[in-house]
Amino acid sequence: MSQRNPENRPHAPTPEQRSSIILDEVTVVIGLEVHVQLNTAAKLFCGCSTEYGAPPNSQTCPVCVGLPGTLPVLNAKALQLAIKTGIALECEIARHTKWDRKNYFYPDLPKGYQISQFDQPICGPGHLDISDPKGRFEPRCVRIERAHLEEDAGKSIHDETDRKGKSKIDLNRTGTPLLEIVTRPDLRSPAEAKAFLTELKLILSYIDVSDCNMQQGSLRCDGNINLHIPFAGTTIATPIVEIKNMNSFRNAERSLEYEIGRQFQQWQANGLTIDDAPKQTRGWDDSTQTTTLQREKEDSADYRYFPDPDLLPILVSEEQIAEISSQVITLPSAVRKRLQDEFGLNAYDADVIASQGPSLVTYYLAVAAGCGNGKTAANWIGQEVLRHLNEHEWTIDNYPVDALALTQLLTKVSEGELDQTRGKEVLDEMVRSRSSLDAAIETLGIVKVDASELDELCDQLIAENESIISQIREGNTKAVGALIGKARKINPNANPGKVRERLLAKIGIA
Amino acid sequence: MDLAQHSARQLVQLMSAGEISTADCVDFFLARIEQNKSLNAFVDIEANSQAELAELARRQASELDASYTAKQSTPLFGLPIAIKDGICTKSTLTTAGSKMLQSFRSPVDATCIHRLRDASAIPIGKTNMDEFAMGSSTENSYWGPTKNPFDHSRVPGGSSGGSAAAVAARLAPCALGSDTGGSIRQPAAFCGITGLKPTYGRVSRNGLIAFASSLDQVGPMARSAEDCALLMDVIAGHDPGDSTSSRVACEHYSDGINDSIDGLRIGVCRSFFGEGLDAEVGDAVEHALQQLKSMGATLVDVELPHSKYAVATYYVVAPCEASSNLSRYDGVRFSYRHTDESLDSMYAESRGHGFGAEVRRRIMLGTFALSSGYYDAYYLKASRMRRMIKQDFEDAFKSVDLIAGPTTPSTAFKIGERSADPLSMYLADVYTVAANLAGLPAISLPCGFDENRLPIGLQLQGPAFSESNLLRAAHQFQLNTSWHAEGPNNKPTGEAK
Amino acid sequence: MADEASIDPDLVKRVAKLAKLADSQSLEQTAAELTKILGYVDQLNSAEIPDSIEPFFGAVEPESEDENAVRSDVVQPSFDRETMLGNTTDNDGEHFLVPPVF
Repeated sequence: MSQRNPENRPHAPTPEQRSSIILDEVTVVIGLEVHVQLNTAAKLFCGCSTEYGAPPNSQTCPVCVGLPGTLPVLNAKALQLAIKTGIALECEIARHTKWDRKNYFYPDLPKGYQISQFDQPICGPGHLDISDPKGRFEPRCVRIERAHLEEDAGKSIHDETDRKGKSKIDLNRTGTPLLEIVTRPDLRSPAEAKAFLTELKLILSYIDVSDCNMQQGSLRCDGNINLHIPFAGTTIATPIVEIKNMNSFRNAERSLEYEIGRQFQQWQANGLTIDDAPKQTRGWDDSTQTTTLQREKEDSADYRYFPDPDLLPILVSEEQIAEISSQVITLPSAVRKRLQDEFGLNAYDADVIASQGPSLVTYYLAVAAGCGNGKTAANWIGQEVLRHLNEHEWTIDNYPVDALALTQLLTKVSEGELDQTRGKEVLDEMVRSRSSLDAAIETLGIVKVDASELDELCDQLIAENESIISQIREGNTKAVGALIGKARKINPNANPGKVRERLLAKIGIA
Repeated sequence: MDLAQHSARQLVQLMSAGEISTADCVDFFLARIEQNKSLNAFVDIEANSQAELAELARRQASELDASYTAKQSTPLFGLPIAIKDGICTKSTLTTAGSKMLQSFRSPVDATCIHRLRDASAIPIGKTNMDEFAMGSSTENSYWGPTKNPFDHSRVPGGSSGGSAAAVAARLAPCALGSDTGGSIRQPAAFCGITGLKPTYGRVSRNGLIAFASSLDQVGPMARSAEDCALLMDVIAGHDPGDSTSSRVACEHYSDGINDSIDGLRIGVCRSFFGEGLDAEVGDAVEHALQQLKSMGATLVDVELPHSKYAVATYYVVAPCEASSNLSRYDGVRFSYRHTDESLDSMYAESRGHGFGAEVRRRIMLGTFALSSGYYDAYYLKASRMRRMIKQDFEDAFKSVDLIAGPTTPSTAFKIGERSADPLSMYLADVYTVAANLAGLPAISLPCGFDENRLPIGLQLQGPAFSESNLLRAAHQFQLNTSWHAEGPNNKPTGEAK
Repeated sequence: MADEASIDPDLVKRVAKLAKLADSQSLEQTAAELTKILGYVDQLNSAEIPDSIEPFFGAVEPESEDENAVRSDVVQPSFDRETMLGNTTDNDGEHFLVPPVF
């Protein structure tokens, strides 16, 4: 299909009509293809390690280098992880699945074909629901079209200097198991796309099928996008563009934003619709913050898919699915609901906790149960603990304060032994010096102030602050705050609440 | 002692008993290989790869002699064996008859080679073949054609022509071949030896350089069915390294061959004896059928209505798979690289110059038949016909134990006679391809000579995993005839014993 | 299929591009050869195959999940790099080298 002149079509909008339409009236249509590296120890069809960062070509063998005579044998765990993902996305799991060869030449594709799944993917239709706790978009059910297993290609390292040096091929990554998850075109904005990716990544970490490390390429995303423009009671669709290598969620959002503007501008300028121009593949260029044309689908490869005769079809039993289902216990959506229903958190706080992944949820649950107050636990974890994690780029697994220690701290606070401010100082100290609760309290010189000390302190305050005392006596009880500030200067361990209570009693107000 | 006249089984017995040393035996056959270089049965690149392998063989033999007590009872103790060059042997060259792999050394042995070594057999040479097993004459080898020991102006058949010629000329007591559409059986027939294509999945394909993965099988080639059984006992069996390898338990083939064929029901498909079959071949096969009948078998007419489509089906399926299997020969990691000018020219020129004409033709054919718009009409249609062909056999085997007929429509043709006309070459496979399409075992054994004293082959085909039955019928036939004992230089007796 | 069997030089060119095959033989000659072979193959058209017939792709399929041909997720030692690079002359001791990919 070559470009046609859209003006020849009946009822096509004129240039003037096109320029009168504004972007707000346009519906954005986005579908995503996500490649997830499954966390197996060995490759999909041979025993080589999948560990990242090994010296080039040190994790290769005759099978993954595609030497003559070699044959693939499927890694059972990759299949299990694919099924597990399918279950989490409520996909139909195929009872009979098979392998196909996708034929194309590329130096880092050793066999000249990729073993993939064409018409019988392991996971059929499913869905993933997204919502925004801040309410920036309406909750949406994003349909999953399919998810299939395939082997990864290797890495080509190009000479960036003068474009004349040879390209270097590293086949360590070749044969790493990937699950390609394909959505229906259900997403309506770049923000939704980002939310989808965020939620998908979260689910994958909850069910422990991938480390989703985008820097290491464990999660890669391509997007398909076009615009539906209302005109004269019908809808005009712009040509579909596939954006490759949106290598971070932020870039995914930005490249889709860019593409909306570009497509709309293009359409206003030339009026080309989906029927007039072939599908384009464009790449996101981080340095220029634009997408650039890579190829038009017309001259794209003819992959000549056919069933791989080296591999048998795979049968999946009900028992196998039930067994794997039993491992998919907790998903983020369920955690959010539980945090709201059982612990009384609001949607936002529940999302903050759930979005940090299963380890932090476990931590939270331990602290909430220990201190008996889910909201307090959420406040401290959502603010103080996450602040520490962000500052130090830690995960909860290497946070120096374990759930028991935080529980004990919160108990001291709730019982009035420490006030909020002192409590936070103690937590900071525990993190700073990696010390126990008691040691941190000691380091900060916090000692319990007994009744006689409190009495003495209050007497001193009354004696030294006549004018404030008289204000209080005249009914300005708020003025007691100034005295509390002074009390802390004299003795930082004095509990503000108790100081207030005792002062008012001595003055004779309470 | 003329070791050339002994069967593989007898040689193993002699060496196990200590009557001859494995070193002497290996030297004897290495010398015969050296003396018969004009046959071009072995791949001998610049006259050094055979020497390299010979050296390894000698070393292996002296190691065996040194550990005689421990190894003497291994099933193939000291047995020299010729290996088709499409089967990977560790460290030495494995070229599959192609310029593409002119300097390829596999870092691993094929599973069948591993099993042979474990049984104390000694690979003594890599045999010539049609490039990537594509051909029926061994003319399509980068290393030049192999000659038929019975008539040096004629082809030995193919693609395992080097193995067949080596066994026929007694350069090796036995050999391994591979069979994708008749590549063991057709050369066995042309060279007057016995060759078995096992059931698909019976012998591991791990280490066999793929031509068409769903059709390829490794199998034994020897002077007798008894020797084929001896090899099958070693090479057959499940291999976890080949996903398509069968888990059906193996029979003990050498034991099974001794039972009589009294009562065996042999199917005869009359359509095999019609147009296209040389009269002399037809007569010899008819005689063989009568021989089997006289030994107690019953002959039953069967029909295989779709077998007439087998060649057409095969020449879609095999090229399709081949076009993909041969994509790895791209000049990057191990295969011939013609130029470094640009990436595109490296691909196109390396593949254009590294592959011979027939291989290029089949890659083109397969690429076309899988390409967008043609897949359904060719690959899918042929794959559906393939099921019809398989079902024909399943139906036939409800009433018979095996099916007998000619292996080839003619005896060995002249070198060069068919090379200009690919289609006429393809039709040499007319009786053999169906077994590959259906995944069934089939054996070819000598059953006579034509007027030029060129061997004629009888083919027996059986249901899946009936190798034992096929070997038994063939062995019993060979106990009662002497065709298989006729060497290239002997005068034919022409009569059954 | 009868129409499709005739292969013209343009189609040969397209297929050769897909297959990455340079050929010293003329496109016309290759077209003629392939057309002849496909002419023979086209006899499949005359065969009647009932709609119920599923394609047979060769391997005998497993009959239960227990027969799936799989291995467990255990790392096996890789081969040493020297061996894996050993069949090509164009390497830098660490990588396979190819003409620039652009």
